[in-house]
Amino acid sequence: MTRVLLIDDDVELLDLLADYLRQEGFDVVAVHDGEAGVAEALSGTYAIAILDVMMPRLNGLDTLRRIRMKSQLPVLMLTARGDDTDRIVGLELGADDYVPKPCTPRELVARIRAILRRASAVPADAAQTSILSVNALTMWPQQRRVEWAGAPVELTSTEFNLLEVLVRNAGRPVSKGELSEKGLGRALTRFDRNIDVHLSSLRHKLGNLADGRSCIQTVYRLGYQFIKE
Amino acid sequence: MGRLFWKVFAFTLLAQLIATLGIGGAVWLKRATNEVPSEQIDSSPPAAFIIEAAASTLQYGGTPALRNLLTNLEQHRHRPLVVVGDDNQELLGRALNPQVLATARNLLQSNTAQEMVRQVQAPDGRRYVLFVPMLAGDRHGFDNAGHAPPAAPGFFLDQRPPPFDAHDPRHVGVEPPPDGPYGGPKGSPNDHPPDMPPDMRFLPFLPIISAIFGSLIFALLLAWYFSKPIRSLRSAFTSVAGGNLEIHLGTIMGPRRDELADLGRDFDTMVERLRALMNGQRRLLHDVSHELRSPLARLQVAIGLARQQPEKIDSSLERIERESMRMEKLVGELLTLSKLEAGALQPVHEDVNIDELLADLVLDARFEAEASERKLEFSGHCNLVLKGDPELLHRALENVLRNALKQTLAGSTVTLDAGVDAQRKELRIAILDRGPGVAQAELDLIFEPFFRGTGAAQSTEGHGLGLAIAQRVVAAHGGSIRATNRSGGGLSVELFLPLAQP
Repeated sequence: MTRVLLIDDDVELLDLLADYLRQEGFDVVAVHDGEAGVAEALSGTYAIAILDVMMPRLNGLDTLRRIRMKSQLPVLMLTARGDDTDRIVGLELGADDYVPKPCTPRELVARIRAILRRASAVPADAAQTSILSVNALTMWPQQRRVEWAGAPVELTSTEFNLLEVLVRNAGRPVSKGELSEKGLGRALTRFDRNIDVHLSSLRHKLGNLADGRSCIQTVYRLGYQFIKE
Repeated sequence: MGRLFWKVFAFTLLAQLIATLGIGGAVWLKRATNEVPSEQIDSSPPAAFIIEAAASTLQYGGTPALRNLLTNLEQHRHRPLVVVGDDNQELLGRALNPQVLATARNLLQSNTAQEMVRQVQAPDGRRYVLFVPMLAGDRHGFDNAGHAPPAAPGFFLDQRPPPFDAHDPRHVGVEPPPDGPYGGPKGSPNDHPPDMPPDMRFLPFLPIISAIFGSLIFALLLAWYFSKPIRSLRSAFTSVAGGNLEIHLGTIMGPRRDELADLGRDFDTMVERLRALMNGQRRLLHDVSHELRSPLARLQVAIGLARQQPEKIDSSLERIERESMRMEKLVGELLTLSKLEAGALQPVHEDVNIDELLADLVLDARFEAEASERKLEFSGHCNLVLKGDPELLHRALENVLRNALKQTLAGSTVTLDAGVDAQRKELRIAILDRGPGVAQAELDLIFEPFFRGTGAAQSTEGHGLGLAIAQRVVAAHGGSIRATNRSGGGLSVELFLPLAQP
């Protein structure tokens, strides 16, 4: 069974959510503060962590930072609606996606499933299992491994999925809508900065081209393009 | 430059011009009246002084002394003082222009210019008329007709050396020397002290023009001095109106010390206060939205559960009901708090029997405390009636008491103690628990709305508004509230209410 870690200080909310998620077929463990959350998340037994940003003591962002230092566990952030800063900082720190906090449990489950699908995607297609290589970048989609000029690059599962979509379409621009559908597993919503933030951190993690440009270029009004030389 | 600048500038300039012209006019008028009596007789103060001196000499020293003085004056090329006896003879025997003499006698008779012409009686009984004829070259009191050498421009023609223009006798006594008194070479015989040189006719404009320029500069400075801080103030107001509260006028005003600088400082204080209030409101709004979000999140999950598991509809509905009640309570508390903060909730001044109020409170709380295995001890009878709002006071005390019961450890005791401090004229109500207490740095913060202590028991009951409301109620009654950590663990909250309401 898929193990889900819930980290939130609202005990009653977690009781209700755990009840709901169990009914949806997840194995749920709920912890009520950041410290315990980090310890549980690093145990390596979870498929995904759902983390609330607003927590006393160790807050959500710090918790995420500490998880990311050691693990690429998919993390879904619960953020306050309308608080863009938390959202963007969360994504920059390596959260895979976010859900504004008063949300329906149905939406939450849909997001969890989307992330899990991406994280565990093992394409059966022979063409997709082969090694992808463009310029200095080499990807092993099956092992979810990436190397830039021979050096391994650590990517979150969302970053990996987005990069894979770009690399498979290297040399042509990919729209944000397509990236959202294929990379995040959901339709692009209005004012969604999710893709931009993920691609920004991808640029930082990957090296530059010989002429100093980033290997991922923004194509005005169209989306993003992985440069093929 | 704004309008104020030009107004201050114009009015200052106007005032200074009026002052300049007024004083100048007064001086000119005085001169004019003095000069009216005669154009032939000198009316200047030095002339009056010489006449005064000569009169005294004559009165006490007699004619020989005066003659001596006149000779001396003559030698020093002083003003030509004329002394004429009743027989129309000049004391030194100098020839006089009869016209000038007639004018002098007329003036003496008309009595209008006592300082210009004086009649003095000598000790020998003879009377003399004393005056100084006009010194300007174009007219003087001495008759030059028929005297030799006729070309002398002086007053005592027979004693004067010839002037530089000696060949033109017509000039003498009729016209000024061509170059004026300043025209002659230094030390020339003509170089007698000039009284009113002809060029000076234009020179009065020089002081007036420089006065006007001076006025202009000072008016500009004054206008700038007043309008500059006001302009800074105005731009500061504009930026505050635009929402920028990060402005300091004190630094713009500089070391200035006057009412305008005070105004700037008052403005800074006001902005500081506004900023604090706005930050408080912003934080409160942020906290409120967050606090409302939690029950909303639970509501949504409960609704989701009701859909997912229709067989558990009853417990889900119960949960939904509970969450909506919580939101209702939160909104109610918020309203009370904001009314108290805005001062809209003035305490009603009713008689409140403190013993009854506390007994009522304890009865309710003890029932709940025992249900959760905590004890409540109540001691103290104060036999006191206070003026205040019984409902607000009840709520304040209930909030503190519930908080204590919530924080105190299971099986421990909460103590409520009331007593009157006769010396300080106040009622003291202490509520003591045996809970985790509050970190020393947070003791004052627990009365802030939505504050949650790091050590406080985690609970979804309550929103952190209870103590904030209690504090504001006590403040509205003129009292104070204080939290301290107890030795041996736990928190002590003390409420002080003055016996006499302000």
